[in-house]
Amino acid sequence: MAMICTVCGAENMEGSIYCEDCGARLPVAAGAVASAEAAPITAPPLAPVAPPPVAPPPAPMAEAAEPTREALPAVPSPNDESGANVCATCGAVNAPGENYCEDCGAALTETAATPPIPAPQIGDSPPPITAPPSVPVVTAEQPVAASPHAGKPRLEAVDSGQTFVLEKDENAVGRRSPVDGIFPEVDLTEADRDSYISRRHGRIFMTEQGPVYEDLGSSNGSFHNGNRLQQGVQAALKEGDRLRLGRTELVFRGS
Amino acid sequence: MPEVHLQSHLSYKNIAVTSENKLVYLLVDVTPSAGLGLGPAALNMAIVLDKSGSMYAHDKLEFVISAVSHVMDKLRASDICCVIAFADKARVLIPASQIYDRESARRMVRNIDSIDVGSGTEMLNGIRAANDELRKNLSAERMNHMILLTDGLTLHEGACKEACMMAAAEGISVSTIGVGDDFNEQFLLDIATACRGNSYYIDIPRDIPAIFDQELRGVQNVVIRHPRLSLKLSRDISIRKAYKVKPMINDLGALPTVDRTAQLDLGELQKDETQSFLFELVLPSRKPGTYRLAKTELVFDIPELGQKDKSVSEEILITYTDDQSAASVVTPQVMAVVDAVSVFRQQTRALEFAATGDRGKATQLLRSAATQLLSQGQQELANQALAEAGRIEQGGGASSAGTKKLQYGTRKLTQLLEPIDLSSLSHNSGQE
Repeated sequence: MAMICTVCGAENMEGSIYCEDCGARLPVAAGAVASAEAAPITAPPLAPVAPPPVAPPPAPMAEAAEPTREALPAVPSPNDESGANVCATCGAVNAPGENYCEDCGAALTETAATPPIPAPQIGDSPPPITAPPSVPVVTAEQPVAASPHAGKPRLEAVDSGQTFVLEKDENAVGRRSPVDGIFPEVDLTEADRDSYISRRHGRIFMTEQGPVYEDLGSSNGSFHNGNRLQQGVQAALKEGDRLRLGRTELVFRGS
Repeated sequence: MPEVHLQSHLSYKNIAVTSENKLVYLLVDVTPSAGLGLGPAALNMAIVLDKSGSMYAHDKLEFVISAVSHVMDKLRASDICCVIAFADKARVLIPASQIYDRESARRMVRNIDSIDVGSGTEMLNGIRAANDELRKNLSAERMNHMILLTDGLTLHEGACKEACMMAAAEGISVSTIGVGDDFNEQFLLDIATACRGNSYYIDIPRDIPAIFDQELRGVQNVVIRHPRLSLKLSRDISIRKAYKVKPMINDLGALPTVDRTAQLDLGELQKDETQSFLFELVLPSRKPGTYRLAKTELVFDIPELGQKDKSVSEEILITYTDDQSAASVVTPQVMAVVDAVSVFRQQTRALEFAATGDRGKATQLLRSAATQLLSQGQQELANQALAEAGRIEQGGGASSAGTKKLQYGTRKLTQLLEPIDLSSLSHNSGQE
């Protein structure tokens, strides 16, 4: 309900404490009380996650559909290593370990290897908790020996399953653009259909200490093990390191 | 333990499920860790002093000489400093250098009395000379800083701002000090805000040394360099307005967002200082449940430890609920800050109305602000607001001194959130 300023008569949005126009204090809604404590409104720290020995039980649908369900704290998926952390509300793919969707903010339910759900129509209000269809959960942590590229430094796209062997001393990372003559060695065009990755997103070059990743001023950023890399910052890659480029999650393998 | 604490509070932890958009206030505090025992960054500092004819009134120049001499004594061996005097022209009294012979430096400062630079106020020449000196030793490892003191109205305000903005773009912060009732407070406040510095109002000249001392202690205690705060919003959430609220209230306007992310360059973080920001967030209607509104992230450097682009981040969560009683609970510390911003906004609007001749609205707002100030225990500021309301009502317009007291006083309401002693306002400026 709009709130009318008693000093200047301006209409203010619900929740306003003072008038947007003149600054005068608005009458606080009747019954407003000060909370006894003022703990920071933040998420609990993420607990370390280890792959479970067995697949977790599917999310109970009945509970998930209950609108008054206590949604917090969301438990990090025990299945993070699969990398597929799909938002059941909007279909966005989130980094493993995220409790809330990077895109729409809804709580993420347990990870399941499901295809993204189409985004809701404009104007739709995303429900907070809707479990994805319960399907057997697949852990993505494949035995190393299964890779035909074992022993070669490479990047594995968590979601699409693509593998990019880093064969050159310098490997461009990005999306291809035949028109501009851009054909990156690590071509993430298929892995990133929504074009969150820049055409010249980053590069991986070989040093005596091993391969190093550098962001080249991408639009949506590069994250190395969860830390955003500023343009020009060089991050040495080690076995199992995670790179998130735009919304695409990659794992570095060196053995 | 993180080197910087990032702490966020929402005005409401729970909001009622309605069909309309809703406004919530997000307070973000950024504080260097108390346990941070680092060698603060060395200075590359310029002190720019007004030596126009009016500075001789009320012993202003004498107090300036005493203040800057004291600064010379307090500089560390690693600090670089220069001193510039300006009136019509500018003259470098002490070129950028480390101060080894303090006695000689004090002598050169005292020399300000005898140099001939004219008697007008052309600050631009002073700023340009300071920029030239600062550029000799410009370095990311140093705290590059300018202190600008004036007691009057300068020519070419626009060009002065531009010159300061250019300095800021090169990594130089600028603090401003206005003495007496004849300077343009908005001009000095704008420069300090745009150039990540502090702004001080000194109505009694004998307070000049204390302010210089306070400013020097601040810049000599920078422990976190180049802090950048980003607010990444979830979909359908927008920032309506943003304010820096500590150490002083500054209106940051509607922050632009790129890729749903707003970025703020915080200047530098001093030991034992908290910088706080208030964001007005517009939330869409949603079904019951807990959602992430935004993610805050602070990226910073600690050159002394060889650390660059370190980061801390936080998730901001809110619960949409059908429980009206839960939704009516407000967070007191956010409310206290919002109250202070409300008073600041009212006096700003009141003075704008007064300037455009709308005396009715100006007086109404000043009286409304006075009522709020009284309820916050700010008796003297409330009286000042009422006195100005009376003057405007009589057709006299706001007084220059009263305007300055209100402008600076209300900006500092968040500093202590307890009564401000107007008589010692100038002791209480800029920082916590």
